[in-house]
Amino acid sequence: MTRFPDIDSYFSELQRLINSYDWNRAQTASSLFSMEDDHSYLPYLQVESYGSRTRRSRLNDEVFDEMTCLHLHVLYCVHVANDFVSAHSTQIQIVQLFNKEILQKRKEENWFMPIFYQLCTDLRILSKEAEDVSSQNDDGEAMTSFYEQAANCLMECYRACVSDVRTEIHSSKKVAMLNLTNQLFRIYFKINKLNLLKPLIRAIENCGPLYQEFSMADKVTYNYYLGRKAMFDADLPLAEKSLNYAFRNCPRDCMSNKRRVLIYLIPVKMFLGHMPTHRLLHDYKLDEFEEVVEAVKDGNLGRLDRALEQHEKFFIKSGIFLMLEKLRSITFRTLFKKVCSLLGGSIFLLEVFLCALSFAQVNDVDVCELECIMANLIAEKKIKGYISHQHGKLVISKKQEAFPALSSISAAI
Amino acid sequence: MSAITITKKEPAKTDKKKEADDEEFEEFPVQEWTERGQDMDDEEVNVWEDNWDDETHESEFSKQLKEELAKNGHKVQ
Repeated sequence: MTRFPDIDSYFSELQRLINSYDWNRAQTASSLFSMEDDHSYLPYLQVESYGSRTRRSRLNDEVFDEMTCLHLHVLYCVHVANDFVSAHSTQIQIVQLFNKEILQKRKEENWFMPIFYQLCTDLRILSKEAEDVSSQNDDGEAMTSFYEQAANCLMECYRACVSDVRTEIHSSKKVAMLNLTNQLFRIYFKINKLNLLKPLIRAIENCGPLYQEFSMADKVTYNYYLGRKAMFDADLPLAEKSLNYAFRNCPRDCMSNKRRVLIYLIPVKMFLGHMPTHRLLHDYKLDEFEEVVEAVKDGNLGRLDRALEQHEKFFIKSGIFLMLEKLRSITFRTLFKKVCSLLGGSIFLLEVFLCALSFAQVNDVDVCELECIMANLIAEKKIKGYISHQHGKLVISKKQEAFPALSSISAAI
Repeated sequence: MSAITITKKEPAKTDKKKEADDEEFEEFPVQEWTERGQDMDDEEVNVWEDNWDDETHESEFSKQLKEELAKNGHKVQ
């Protein structure tokens, strides 16, 4: 049983919600602008064309009325015509209309933002759909991609929102900054233009008390993407901080999102010396990491290489393969630590380590490369000691822990 | 309506959608909840292990490594 037996009831519900100029009501209304909500599957809400129809339901607010009609046309394109290209261009029209007539003209109010967010989200989803369809019957890449069109459109909206400076914080359109930044983060990740986010990230960093006005949903999403970007930029402390926030603050019932955060948090944490427990990997169905973790903890390089190879596809698809390969360096450290501890003392012939390496099935490391690996570990303070190149020896500290716990070394990389 | 024209249309694959979206961070069903304090202790802090160095050499790999070193004439303790 639907709550909308006909098109009139849909319009009158929207009318009721929009007329109150209230953020929470707009939140409810936002689903009535979604292309995945229950209403979107009702045939009488999928309108091919209004044409010059004069006898029809209307909203008092002309702009919202026009957007609603366009939305119903999008529903037709998506659910009847399967024409995602038209759906995409119509959705662009809706967002541009929202920008021109509402974001730029209605001063000192922002109650409509939940609806705006929904429109932007659908635009993003439609970009993907349109991109998929057109790449199937591709005729070259002459035109701007659907993602880029969407990004340009959202960027225009972003500019309109940030320029709303004179309004008091609770009714300012600046509150949309974080949601829009997230929308653009998602798109730029897809089209590999993360550098374009720099000014947007800086704006969030410098937004002051406004940050408290953003929703938790947006904060968690933002930290997830910020963390992933930091990982690519090899800024591990920032990656850990952001992803940790996202993991801890992502609600428990959003398991799949928590799992997504972990896919990036785990390699970062491991590199900083914090190993995920078996329980964690099991609870989040991340068994692909199990062997990797065991190999790193054991200093077993051969096992690590095999573990990476075994789940290569998953790791590459997730974009963490290169990060996981970096774990080799701490696996070397753990193997060397083992050798030193087994032999005792503080001076070791380098050939001992070569022997251990070939036992661990690392056959492509000669003494020069070994010295190089060790020198790096010493520079990173993961080994306290020095190499005597002349004598072919490693000398480790007697006074202090020569292989400090990785988690105690704060400065990463 | 726009500058885009398409010459041929293929039915979109709806089954493909779910699978491809698997990599995307999902939209949250609700927007607000309570933020967790930084030093708030909870079970999610204990999912990371800091002391994992095998000091006692009990793993199979450690035992075999010890034998291997001895076999090659390196004096193990």
